[in-house]
Amino acid sequence: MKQAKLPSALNATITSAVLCGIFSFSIVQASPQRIVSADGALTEIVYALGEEQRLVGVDTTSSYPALATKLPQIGYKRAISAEGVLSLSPDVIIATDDSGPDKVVEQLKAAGVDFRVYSEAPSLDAVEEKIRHIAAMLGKQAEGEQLWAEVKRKVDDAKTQAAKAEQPLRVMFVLSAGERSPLVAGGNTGADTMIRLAGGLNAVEGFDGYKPIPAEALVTARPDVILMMKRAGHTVSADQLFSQPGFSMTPAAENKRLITMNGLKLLGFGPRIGDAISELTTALYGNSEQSAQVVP
Amino acid sequence: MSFSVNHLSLSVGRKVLLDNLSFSINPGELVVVLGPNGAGKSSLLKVMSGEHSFSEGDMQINGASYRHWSVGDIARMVGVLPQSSQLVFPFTVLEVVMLGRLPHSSGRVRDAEIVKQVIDRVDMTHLMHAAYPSLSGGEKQRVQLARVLAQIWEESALGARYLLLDEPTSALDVAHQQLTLQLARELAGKGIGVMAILHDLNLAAQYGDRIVMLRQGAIAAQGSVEEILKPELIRQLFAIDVSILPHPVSQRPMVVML
Amino acid sequence: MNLQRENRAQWTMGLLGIFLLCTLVVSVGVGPMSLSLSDSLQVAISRIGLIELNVPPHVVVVVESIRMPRTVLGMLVGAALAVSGAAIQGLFRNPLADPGLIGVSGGAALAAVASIVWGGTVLKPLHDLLGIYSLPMMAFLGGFITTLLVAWIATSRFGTSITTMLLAGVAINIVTGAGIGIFTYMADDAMLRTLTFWQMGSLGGATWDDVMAAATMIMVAVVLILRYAKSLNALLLGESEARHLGVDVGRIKVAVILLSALAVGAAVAVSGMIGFVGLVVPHIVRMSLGPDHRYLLAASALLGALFLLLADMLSRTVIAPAELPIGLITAIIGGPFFIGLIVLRARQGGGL
Repeated sequence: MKQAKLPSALNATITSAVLCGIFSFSIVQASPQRIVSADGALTEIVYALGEEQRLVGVDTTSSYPALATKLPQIGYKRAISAEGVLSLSPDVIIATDDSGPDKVVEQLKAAGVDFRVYSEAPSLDAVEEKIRHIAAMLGKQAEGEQLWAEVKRKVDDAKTQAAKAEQPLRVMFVLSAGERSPLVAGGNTGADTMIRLAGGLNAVEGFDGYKPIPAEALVTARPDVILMMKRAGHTVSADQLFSQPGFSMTPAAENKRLITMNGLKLLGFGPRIGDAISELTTALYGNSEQSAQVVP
Repeated sequence: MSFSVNHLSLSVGRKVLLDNLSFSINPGELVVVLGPNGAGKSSLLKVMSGEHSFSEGDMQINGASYRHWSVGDIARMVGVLPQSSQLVFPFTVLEVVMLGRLPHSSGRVRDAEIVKQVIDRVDMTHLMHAAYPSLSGGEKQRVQLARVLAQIWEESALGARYLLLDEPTSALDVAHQQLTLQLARELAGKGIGVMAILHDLNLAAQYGDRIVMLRQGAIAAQGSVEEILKPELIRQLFAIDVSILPHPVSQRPMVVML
Repeated sequence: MNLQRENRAQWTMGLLGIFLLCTLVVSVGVGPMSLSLSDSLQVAISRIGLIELNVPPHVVVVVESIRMPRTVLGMLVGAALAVSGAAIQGLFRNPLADPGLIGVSGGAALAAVASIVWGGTVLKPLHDLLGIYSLPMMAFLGGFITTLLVAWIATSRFGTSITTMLLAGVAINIVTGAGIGIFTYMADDAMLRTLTFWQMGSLGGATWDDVMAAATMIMVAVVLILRYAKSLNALLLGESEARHLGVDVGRIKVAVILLSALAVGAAVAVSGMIGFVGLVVPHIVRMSLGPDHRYLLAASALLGALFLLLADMLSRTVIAPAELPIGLITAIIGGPFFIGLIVLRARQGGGL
């Protein structure tokens, strides 16, 4: 506002931030009692560790378990409001590194709240780190180790199961298919990681992220299986999908192999990742020696 | 002191709109510019009001070249009444007329007095607070006239004042046509040089001191009303047959179509 | 002159000023966090050096680094958008011209987005040179270029065509929308986060740095625009008429376009796209005070600041603790208002 006021304003901000920092640090040592979560996977972990009574607010990506949606909502994880979050008087805010906006994160930190950021990278390592750290924060180290061990066991089982197949299947994850060019997952995406962890090959190569690709590229990618998210209301049926040009000319169309899975479970990178991998591997390679299972 | 054009030409592309015009408006006289459609009357007014530049020749106001004067100086000497003015925003009559005082810094009190006087002169006092867009075409024209009057109402330190009227009577009924030109006449009486573009030969005859007759961008004839309003010249220019009779009251020439 | 209107204008501006002051106090005192009004005000007043501070530190932080910059920024942005709207409407003699509708905001947003995405690469030298001012400067340039483009498209030797101008605005909005889309496609995740914030418009996360960067540009632009009030009045009569009244039309046009672009650019840079303020606010002022720019511009600045403060208070309380983007609120109010305006004009046979 007025130039002369700025330094003193900043000064006071910093002083009080330090004071608040010390204050909240002592609380953190005693394990935080009021937690705001700005990420669905982190919320799931708190629930999985049985400490959901400490959650005082969650973002809109926290939709599992359904009870979480009854908690006070702080909005979309990338558009949270500084004062809105502060009004919940949290001891700690847990978020991933894509939560924001950055300026709001700065303001929250300046207000002296313990703001903990975890990696949103789509990897098993990130899941391990999230589980371990949050368990430690909650004073539930043993439960955390147990939860992680369970995830690890399911991932290993899936690997064994997939290894029995003659050769890995080429899987294409389709985020949306309709009138426009389908949006598919390239490298460095959650879907890519999940396909590989489940013992498949990502049929899409050559780019990172989710991008639309032309119908012709669908054919040259030669997917054996199409993987999509189950959506309330408008899940595409195999018949519909494989009648579309492009999809109709893929190996997947011959056997009508379409797998649909719950999106949050598949791509959430939370404590259910083990289950998600088991489910995907089973859908790809089957439980028995048979290598093909048709999902109608 | 006068507002004069010397060997003035204007061409746009290969088309010659004004061709070597020379004449002047002297303080105290009312010069009427006549001519058939397309003769260059509007182009002439646009050049003289500074809206178009000219290609060749020179234009002088009160002894100094037109280019010598700033836009603000010119506005303190020359008022221009356009053919019609659109105004989307609902200014009141008073506010529109007040805009005429923009070039001057005579103070609010003096401005308010002048505005009252000129609104009264164009017979619009009863509609002073009406919104301009709600007025009829004729009323709008009178308000614009009042605005231009407000602009040149007081003597200018820069020399004589001039008023350029672009078909000031076209939207008016007979009574207000007379009112407008009487007003122009009266201003001339006060030492203002007036140039009016007119279509009506009889209005020109009744009110003009001199006539400049244009044809195809050039001056076909200029002189006193009696010299110009001759049946042969009018037949040449407008392709109509007329006879000229003396006006029963004023004895000035009167044009009667045959 | 017109004493009625002049009196009314003075009264109205006085009232607006008082309302704005009250809203300012409420804005600092109200938020999702329930702080006592007296505590909040104590913080605000203590900063001016009047009293000794005696409130908990977290109150100080919330009031001083969240609510106050946000409130000040809201006022600046509201005033900037409303004044530029009023000035551009006067310049083009069209009450429907709005920086958003004719594509100026879109141009500013496109440039801002380019500045976000290319900030580390193509535009790095510029960023190093201008620091915190680079984003507002880019937004200003974008706004300025689009304004010139619209003016150029719409102006022929017959004058400025309103219809052409609005059509040009539609076309430019399509192009800038596509441009923003291309940058979105090129952006990485961190950039995308910033971009999302842009398109809905928000005062959330306002910092004193933002306020400083925007305040300089906006205050200069607004104060200078106010000086052109009389010339803008004359321009309402038409360009030729204004010239006959001694107004240097060419210079005024360039100046007003430049200053409006500066104000809109700075506003867009710090708050993203907030639409309809520039359309709704001047229109309401005109309905009560008439089109005289001497009152219109100043009153629009006050009402614009007031309007955006109120919208922002809604934005941060309606779905608290979450936040509704302020651009959505102004659009929800402004959209129907705009439709009403068009219908009214069509019924009056005014057309565009």
